[in-house]
Amino acid sequence: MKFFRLVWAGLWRKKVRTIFTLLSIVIAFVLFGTLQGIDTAFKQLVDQGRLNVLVTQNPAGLPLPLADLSQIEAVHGVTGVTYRSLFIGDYQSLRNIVIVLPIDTAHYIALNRNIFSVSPTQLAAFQHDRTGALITESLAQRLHWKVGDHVPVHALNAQKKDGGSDWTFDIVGTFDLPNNPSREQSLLLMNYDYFDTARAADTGTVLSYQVNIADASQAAAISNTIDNLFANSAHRTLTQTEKASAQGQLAQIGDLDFFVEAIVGAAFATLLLLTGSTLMQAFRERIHEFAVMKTLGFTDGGIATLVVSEAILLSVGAAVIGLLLAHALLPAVGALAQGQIPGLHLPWIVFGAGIAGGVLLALASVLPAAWRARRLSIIDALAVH
Amino acid sequence: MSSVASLHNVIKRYVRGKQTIEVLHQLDLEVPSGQFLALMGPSGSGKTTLLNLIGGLDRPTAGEVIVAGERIDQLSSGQLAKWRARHVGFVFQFYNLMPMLSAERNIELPLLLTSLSSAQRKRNVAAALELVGLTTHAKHKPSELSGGQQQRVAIARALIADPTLLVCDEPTGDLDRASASDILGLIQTLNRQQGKAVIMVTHDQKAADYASRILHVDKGQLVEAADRSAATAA
Repeated sequence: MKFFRLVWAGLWRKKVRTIFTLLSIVIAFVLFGTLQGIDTAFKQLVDQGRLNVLVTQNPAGLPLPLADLSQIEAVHGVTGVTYRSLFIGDYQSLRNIVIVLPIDTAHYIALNRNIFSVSPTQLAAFQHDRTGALITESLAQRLHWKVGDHVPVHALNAQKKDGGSDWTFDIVGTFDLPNNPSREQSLLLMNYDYFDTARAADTGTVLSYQVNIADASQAAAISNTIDNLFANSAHRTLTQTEKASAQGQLAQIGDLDFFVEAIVGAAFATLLLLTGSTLMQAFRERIHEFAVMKTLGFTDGGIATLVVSEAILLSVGAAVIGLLLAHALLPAVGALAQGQIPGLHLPWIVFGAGIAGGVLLALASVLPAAWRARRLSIIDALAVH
Repeated sequence: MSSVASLHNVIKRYVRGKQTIEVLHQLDLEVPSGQFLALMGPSGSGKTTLLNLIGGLDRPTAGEVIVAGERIDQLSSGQLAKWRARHVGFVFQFYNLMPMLSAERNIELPLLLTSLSSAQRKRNVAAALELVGLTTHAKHKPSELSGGQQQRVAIARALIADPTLLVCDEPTGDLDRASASDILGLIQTLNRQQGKAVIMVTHDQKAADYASRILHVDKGQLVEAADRSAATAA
C-alpha cells in the first residue's frame, strides 16, 4: 500500500497521455461489455428452450396449413399440439413496436402453463372475446395501456381483407413470463380466429406448431415421424426441439459469437499495440528515474513490479470504468430495441472476464517495458541521461 | 580509527567495442569513518568510476571493495540494492529528483524500502526537511524549486535512511557560487556534527577545500594531495 502513491504518481506523470490511453481502453471495454451483454441475452433466450417441446415449421419459414394439425396430434408420443402465427405492428409510430401472436386460445396457454402467468378471469375473458388481447406487463407499462382500453395496432406485415392494416384490440388482461427474458418484450396475444378470418392472405395457415411430447428422449424420433408425414406434400416441415429451433432462429441473424469475438478481438489487438507502444514510450522517458530509484536501493524486481503495477492499475481501472458504463448502457440499448432483445444485462461472469482481460492486456503490453526496466544498468542510464 | 571504505588492488576495465580500457589500475584506498574525502582529477581520470565502486553502483573487474564492513564486490544485484538502501546516500550533480513527486515524497522514497510505519516516515521526513531548511517547501514539486533547493531536497533524501556513507558526485556542479557554498556548508556540517563519512567527486578546488582530505585521481591511480583534517572551509 505504501507504494500505491508512487505508482499513482507515476501513472499521472503525463496526464494527457494517460487520459487518452485510459479513454481508448475504456471504449474497448464498453464495446466488450455491451456486445457480450447482447450475446448473453440471446443465449439466455436459447437456454429457455424446452427439450420436451417440439416446434414444427416450414424450413423456409413459409406458412403451414392448419389442416396439418390433426395429423400431428395423431403421432404416437405427442401429448398436445397448439399453433400460432405472428405479425409485427406498431402503435401510433414505429418507435412503439408490438409483436402480435395470434394463438389458439383454447390450448396455447394451457400447453404453456408452466411459462405463462395469467389470472383465470382474464384468461377466460380473452378466450371469450374475439377481439380481446393479453399483453405483457412491460408492454402495458411502455405504452401506458390498461385493461379496458381499445387500441389499434398498425400491422407492418399483415394486411386485412378490407384493405387496411389497422387491427383493433380490447385489452382484457396482462400476462407475465416469470424468469423468462421474453417478459420484457412487447408481446400481444390475440385470438387466432379473429386474425385468420380478417386477414387478406394465407388464410387457414399458421406459422408454426408447438408439439408437446411425453418423453424428451423421443424428440428426434417424433420429429422424424412428423416431418415424414409431410415429406411429399407442398408444405414440408422441419421439426426441432424448442431449444434447437431458437438456436436456428439466432443463426439466421448470423454467427453472433463470431461477430462479437471478431469485433472485440480486433479492438483489443489494436489496443494492445497502442498501449504497448505508449507504455514503452513512457518507459523510455523514465529510464533516468528508474536508474535513480535503483541507486536508492530499489531492486531490479522492485522496479519491474512498479512498472507492471502502473500498467495494471491503468488497464484494470479503465476496464472497470468501461464495464460499468456498459452495465449502465445495456438497459438503454434494451429501451432502444423496445424490449426486442430481452434480458439485457452485464452478467458477473462477463464482468469478471473483463477484469481478467484488463490484467492480461496490461501484462501483454507492459512486459517488454518491465523486462527492460529490470535489466536497466544504473551506470549506463545515468551516463546517457 | 575503523575504515568506512577499503579498496585493495582494485582494477576496473571497460570494453568499448573491440577495445578494452583499464580505468583503475590496482588501486588501494582507505577511508576512515567520519572522513570528508574529496576526489579530484581531470575528466576521464576514473574518479566517478571509483565513486561508483564505493557506492555499490558498479563492480570492479578485480580486487576487493569493502564498504561499511561488507565485501560489496561479492554481493548479488539484489543484495547490493538492499545494501545501498541501508548504507549509502547519493547526491548527484543534477539532483535526480522524481519530477512527479513533491519534495516530501522525494525525501520519503528511501524509507519506502524500510519497515517504518507511515507515521514514522512522516516524522523522519519532517525532521529531514527541517535539517535542510525546507520545511515550508514540503509540498513543492521539483519544478517549483530553485537549483539550490532541489539539491537540498536531494541531500535530505540521501540522509533520510541514516546511511553510513554520503556519496556526492559533483554536488555543486550545476549551482551558482552562492548556492554551491550553501550546499557545501551543509554537507560539511553533516560531516562534522553527525559524523557522516562523505566522499565527494569534484572538479572545483573551492568545493574540495571543504573536505578534510583531498585525493587526486590521475590515470587510474590515487595521489594524496594533503591531509586537511584540521582545515576549515574558506
